[in-house]
This record gives sequence, structure tokens and C-alpha cells, in this order.
Amino acid sequence: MRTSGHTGEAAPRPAPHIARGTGWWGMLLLQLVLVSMLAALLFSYFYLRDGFDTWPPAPAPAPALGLTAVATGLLVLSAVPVAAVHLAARAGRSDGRGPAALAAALALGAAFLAVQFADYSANDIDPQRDVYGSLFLALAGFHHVNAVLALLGLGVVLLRVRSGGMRPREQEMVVTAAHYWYFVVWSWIVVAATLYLAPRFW
Amino acid sequence: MTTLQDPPATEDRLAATWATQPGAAGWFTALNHKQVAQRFLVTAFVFFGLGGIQSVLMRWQLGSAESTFLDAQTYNELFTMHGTTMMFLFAVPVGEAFAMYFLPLMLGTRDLPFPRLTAFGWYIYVLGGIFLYSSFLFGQVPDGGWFAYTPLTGPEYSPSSSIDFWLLGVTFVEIATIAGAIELVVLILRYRAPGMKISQMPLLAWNVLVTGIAVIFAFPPLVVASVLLELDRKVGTHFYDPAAGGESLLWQHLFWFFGHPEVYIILLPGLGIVSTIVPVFARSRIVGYSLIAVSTVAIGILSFGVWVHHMFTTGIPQLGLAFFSVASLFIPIPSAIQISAWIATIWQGRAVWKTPMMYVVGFIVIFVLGGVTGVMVASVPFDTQAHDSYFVVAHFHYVLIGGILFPVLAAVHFWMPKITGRLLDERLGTIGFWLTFIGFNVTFFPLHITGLQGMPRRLYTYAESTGWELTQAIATWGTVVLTLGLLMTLGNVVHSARYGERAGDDPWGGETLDWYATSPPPAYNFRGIPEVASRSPLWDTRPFRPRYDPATWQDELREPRAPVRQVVLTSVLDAAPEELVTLPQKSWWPLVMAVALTVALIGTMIDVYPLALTGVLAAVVTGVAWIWDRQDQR
Ligand code: HEM
Ligand SMILES: [Cu+2]
Repeated sequence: MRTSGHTGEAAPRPAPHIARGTGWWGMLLLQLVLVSMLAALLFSYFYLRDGFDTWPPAPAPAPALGLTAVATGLLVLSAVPVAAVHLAARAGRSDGRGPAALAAALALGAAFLAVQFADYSANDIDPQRDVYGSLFLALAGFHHVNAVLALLGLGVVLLRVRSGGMRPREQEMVVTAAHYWYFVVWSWIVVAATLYLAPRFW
Repeated sequence: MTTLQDPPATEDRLAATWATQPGAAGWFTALNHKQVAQRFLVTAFVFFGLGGIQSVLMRWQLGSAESTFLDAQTYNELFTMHGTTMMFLFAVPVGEAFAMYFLPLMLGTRDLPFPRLTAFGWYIYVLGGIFLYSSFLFGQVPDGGWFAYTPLTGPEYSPSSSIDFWLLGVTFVEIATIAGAIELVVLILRYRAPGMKISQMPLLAWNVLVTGIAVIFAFPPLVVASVLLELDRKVGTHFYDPAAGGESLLWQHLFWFFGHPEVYIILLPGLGIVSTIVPVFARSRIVGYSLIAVSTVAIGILSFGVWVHHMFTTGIPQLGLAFFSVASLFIPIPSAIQISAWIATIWQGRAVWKTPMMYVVGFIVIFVLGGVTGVMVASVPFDTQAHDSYFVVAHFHYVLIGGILFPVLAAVHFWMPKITGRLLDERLGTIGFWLTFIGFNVTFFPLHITGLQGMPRRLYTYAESTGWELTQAIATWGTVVLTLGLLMTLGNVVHSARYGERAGDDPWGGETLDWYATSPPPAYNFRGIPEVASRSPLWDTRPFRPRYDPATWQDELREPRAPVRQVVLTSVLDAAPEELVTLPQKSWWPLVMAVALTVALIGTMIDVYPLALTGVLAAVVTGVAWIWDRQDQR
């Protein structure tokens, strides 16, 4: 058995411990909370959509896909550098490329948000006009709040790793933040499919 | 004599590391599970007192026909606040509070896994509660019922701020509940004493595990529902507004998806408390441990399948009605299994009739009666008749007071000696029990009859010609007796905390590790972490002598090399020791975070958005600080 780590300890923790530490468990349960919220929002979306004959209701146009396709691409891409840092942290490696990878993920995530916000005005989304706009706000808003929080988390990790390398605290932070970011990525695919694709089929 | 310069003896390093700093700063930054759980307990009981006062006022009003003691509006406010307080601010937190105090002890560890989250949870619980209750100061008390149905609570029919107090305050408390659930689940999975396999952990841990997972799935939809309604009210969205394509029934779906599991979230810790107390006072190992554990899991799963039974009268398709009705009829089976197991345990042993055991038996009686009426209202034709009548009021008080209040009172009598180190008075306890038990039944049994006579619930008064006065008056006298009983228990607790007889570490001949710690337990709970190999460690070898191997990690835990708080992490199923980890010692961030969020809440409430934004930004900055700065070493 390994006895570990108070603050200031320099040696990284080995993979089996860091991969399933309490931070990992806490993040897993937090994600279940978020999944439950997402499910409630999706239920609301389809439940309310069911009350309409045409969706989206006039005067809203069927949402155009161009911008959001670009945004989604950026977001999916951002998972790559995050995964690279995640794997390095699990292996206890501190190879100096961590900060650059995290910075790339941050930039991609921020670009995703910027493109999406351009999309909302282009697609004429108005939460106060009717329930269609309201639902758009709810689903996209839920996602974007998580995205901003996860980006902040990645930013903190970036600063910590740059100044201190991969010590046990940073390792745990990377694992936790990376899993949060994966949630942001996959939940966006669900949210975008609902908001942008579902109206084309139902 | 030691001088100030002397380094603390090694014996003391453990105590020094775990000690909370003295003074106000120490109080606000304290993280230890027992200290924070005590605050949770006291707060929950204060809210119970407030909810109780509201119910006494209502009962006084209802005791006579055409009473003018309360007007209709006040009555609406009182039942709303009473229901809200009891369900959100008392019943759920009190179960978590007991678990937060006693599970680390029963599982043989030293703290909860996320100590700062523990403290944060308590702060937002209190602040959310205060926020909700501050509505009294502004004369805008929520009046939409404890389930706040739209459209009544929407912007059109509730233009004042009363519903905002409800939505925002309750959401805070829900977040506290979710945080507590996450802690407890991780605690149960990863912090068990080495050797305590998952199939050997105390049944209370099974119950709290299932409760925690149910909270994690059930509470978020209510948070979502509340946020959507708040958006409708503040931002002008249309989720519940039929005029712009929304639907009122959406609230009911989201609410009851939470609301039904909520009943079991309240109930399960109570069942766990009973499963803990029964074997100790029956002087016999529990019969059917595995059956009880499995049926606990079954209750948790089934509880999610039945939410529509609260909406039988809303015009749902026939097939749906049949499905949900049948699912509701399945629920009693696992409950019946547990009750049989307790009775078998009592039968097999030699029961010792102390106060905790009396409350347990009182619970079984009341709960069975509540279950019978529950099966009645689970059938669609009967529910169509009894829906929204006093029959339902009687039914859910039997289930809730039976399901949580009696087990909680049993737990108070059982565990107070551990918390304070002093025994409660047995005679006062017995009188208190009988007053509570009789008072409860006299209060609520007659209401079944009032309900069958057709009296609707939430009626602030009634004409004499209805013939409801007799049963309602009996109920009010019952409440007087019930209140006396509860006050007697309160007096007993307060008095014994100072003057009670010394309890010693193990006054009941307990089964689980909590009785191995001293009374009251030191901040670090156990000097050496016990290794266990059975379900009843304290009954296998007497006196209990855990294995101790000085050359191992045990040694480091006993005498930490550095001033750090250490616990041992064990594997999920077999509890094989895996790693020693350190925990934070103290922190300001939980308090600062809770205050920042409250500022955001107040800003939203009074429509001063710069203030709300300030609160949100402060919370974000605090969040960064929270992650960055963690003080593990003194
Ligand atoms: C301590 C003794 C108690 C008394 C005397 C009492 C009495 C009452 C009364 C008179 C009402 C109003 C009935 C109506 O007009 O429809 C009520 C409603 C309610 N009570 Fe209690 N109660 C007690 C304890 C509890 C407890 C412990 C809980 C939950 C854990 C609880 C949960 C509720 C709920 C959820 C409502 C419905 C509120 C609503 O209609 O929105 N009560 N109670
Ligand atoms: Cu139900």
C-alpha cells in the first residue's frame, strides 16, 4: 500500500490510484447530477414540442446548420489536447507540453462559444417570443454555463501545471477537469442534435 | 511540567492536527464531520420546530367550525410553509445529518471525503432557509402549496415576490442536499474500514447509499423545474405559459418525478436507523441482512417508476394509468420484507425495552397503517374519490411521521449518549414516547374519517352543518398531546446534555464501530483505524480488539509523520486498504462561496441585476480560489 500525499509532496501518484481517486468519484457523481438535469431539459423540450403541429413554430425559421457545424467541430477537436494531458497526468508524466495542450483546449473552447453566440443572433432565437426560443435558451444555456465553468477549471489547471508540474494535487485536478470537459463535449452533441437536427425530422 | 517550547508529544500530534481552531475564525472555518453534522442536526430540528408551530396554528384554526382565528390567506401561507419546511428543510436534511455524523464512525473512518463541501452544504442550507423565512419580514409569504403548482405560481397569478422566495430559497436547500448526497455516496464506497466488505457494511450504509443515489437523480429535475419557473417569472420566457406554447402540466411532471422518490429519500434513512437499532435491543443479529439490503435497492429503483400516481386525476391516457397504478402496487413488497425481518429479529432475540426500541415499534405500527392507506390510494378508482381530501392528509402524515419522525426520535434516544457522553432520562423518555405516540394517532386517525366524509384538504374553515367539527376537534386535542410529548423529549435532551448520567463508550452493548469510539468521539474518531472482518465487529470478540500491526500504514495513521489529517482509502467491494490520503484542515472558502451566492440570489430577487452579477462573479473568483488553495498541512 502507498501512503501519500500532503501538499508539497513532489512525487506524482501512480496510475491506479490517481485514476479512481475520490476526486474522480466526486466528478462521476456530479456528472450524474448533470445528466439528470439534462434529461429533465430534454424531456421538457420534447414534451412541449409535442403540443405543436409545426416545429419550430412560425415565425422562427428551421435552424440553419452552418455555424453550429463549425462550432461543434471546434469543440470535439478540443477534447484531443485535454485527453493528452489527462493521459500524461494518469501516467504521472510531466513532459512540458501540458501547458501548451491546455492552452489549445482553452482557445478551442472559447472559439466554440464565440461561434455559437454568433449563431443565435443569425438564427433569430428569441426566448421571450415563444416557448421555442425559451427552450433554446434553457438547453443551450445549461450547456454553456457548464462550458464556462469547465473552461475556468482548465484555466486553473493550466496555471498550476505551468508553475508546479505534475504533483499529486495537479494530477487529481487534471483528471477531474478533463472528465468535466468530456461531459461538456458529449452533452453538446446531444443538445445540438436536439436543437438543430430534431426539428428537421419531427 | 512542560514548558511552552516543548514540542508536542507524538501522542498529541494526532489530536492537535484534528483540533478545530478556537474562536470565531475556527468556528467559521471548521470542517470536521461531527462539528458540521451537529450544526446540520440543530438546524434541522429548529426548522422542525418552526414547521411544528405553523401546524399548531393551523390545527387551532381547524378545531372549531367557522373559526376566525386565521384568515384564508394566512392559512394558505401556513400550510405552504409547513409543508415546505417539513419536506425540504427538515425531513431530508435530518436524515443526511445523522448519516454525516454517524456513518464515518460506523464505517471506521475519520471524516467525510470532501470536508469543504460538507461545510459549504451547511452554509447554503442555513442561508437558503433564512432566505425562505425572510419572506415573513416582507409580508410576502409563499402561498402556492408545498408543490407550487403552476399556473397558480406563475407570473400571472402570483405577481408578488412570494413565489420567488420559495423557488430561490428551496433551490439553495436542494443544492445542499445534493452536495451531502455526493459526499455520503463516496464515503460509503471508498472510506470503509479495511476489511469491511460491501456485503458487511451496516445496513444504515446501504440505506444511505441508495438514498444518496436517489437524491442525485431526483433532485436535479426539481432544480431545473424551479429555474425554468424563475425564468418565466423574471425573464419572460414561456415554459409554463400555454398562451405562448408552454404547458402547466410540465411543472407537475418535473415536480413529481422528484416528488415521489422524495418520499423514499425521506423514508430510507429512517428504515436504516430502524435496522440499526432493532438488533441492538433485540440482542440478536439481524435476520435477513441480504434480503433487507436487496429490498432497499429495490425500493430505490421502484420509487422512480411511479411518479404519475400523483397525477391520476389530471387526464392521463388509460394505459399509462394502469401501468403506474400497478407499479405503485409493487412498492409495498420490499417494505413488507423489511418489516418481516425486523419482527423476526425481535422474535428471535430477547428484546430489551429501552426508549429507542419503543420508538422503533411505534414506527412499525404507524408505518404499516400508512402503508395500508397508501395501497388504497394507489388504486385509480379509489384515488379519484379520495384525491385532495383529508384522507390524503391523514395518509401522508402516517407515512412521513411514521417514516421519518419516529425513527429520528429513536435515533435521538439511541445516539445522544454518543454525541454528548450522557444518557437521556429513561422515565422521561418513556412518558415522552407514549404522549407522542398517542397524540399522533389521536391527531391523524380521525382525519381519515373527515376525508371520507368529503372534507377537501387546504380548507381554512368549514360550516358547522358539514359534520366535520367532531373529528377535527379531536385532532386538535391530539395535537396538544403530541406537542407535549415532543416538548418533553426536547427537555430531556437539553437537560441530560448537562446533567445526565455518564454514558460510557458503549451504553447499549452496540454492534457497530461507532460504539468503539469514546463518547463523545474525539475529532479524529479513532486513534488506530480498526480492521474488521464481519458485520457485527463489536459482537465477535469482546472486548473488541482490532488487529494492529505496528510496522504498517496503521502506524503512520496513529502517529502522523507531519501535521496532516490522514484517512485510509479502501477498495469499493472488498475494502482492501489502498492508500493514505490527506484532507484539508480548515477553509474560509465554503463560507465566502455561500455568501457570494446569496448575494446573487438577493440581487435576482429584488431585480437589481448588477448586484446579482457581482454575486456571480464573486462566486466564480471564490471557486478558483477554492480549487487553488487547499490547506492540508498545518
Ligand atoms: C408535528 C405534527 C404535525 C401536524 C399537527 C401537522 C398538521 C398539518 C396540517 C393541519 C396540514 C394542513 C392540511 C390542509 O389544510 O390541507 C398539514 C399539511 C402538510 N404536512 Fe403536516 N403536520 C405535522 C407534521 C408534519 C411532518 C413531520 C411532515 C413531513 C415530514 C408534514 C408534511 C406536511 C405536508 C407535505 C403538508 C401539505 C402542505 C400542502 O398542502 O402544501 N407534516 N400538516
Ligand atoms: Cu408517490
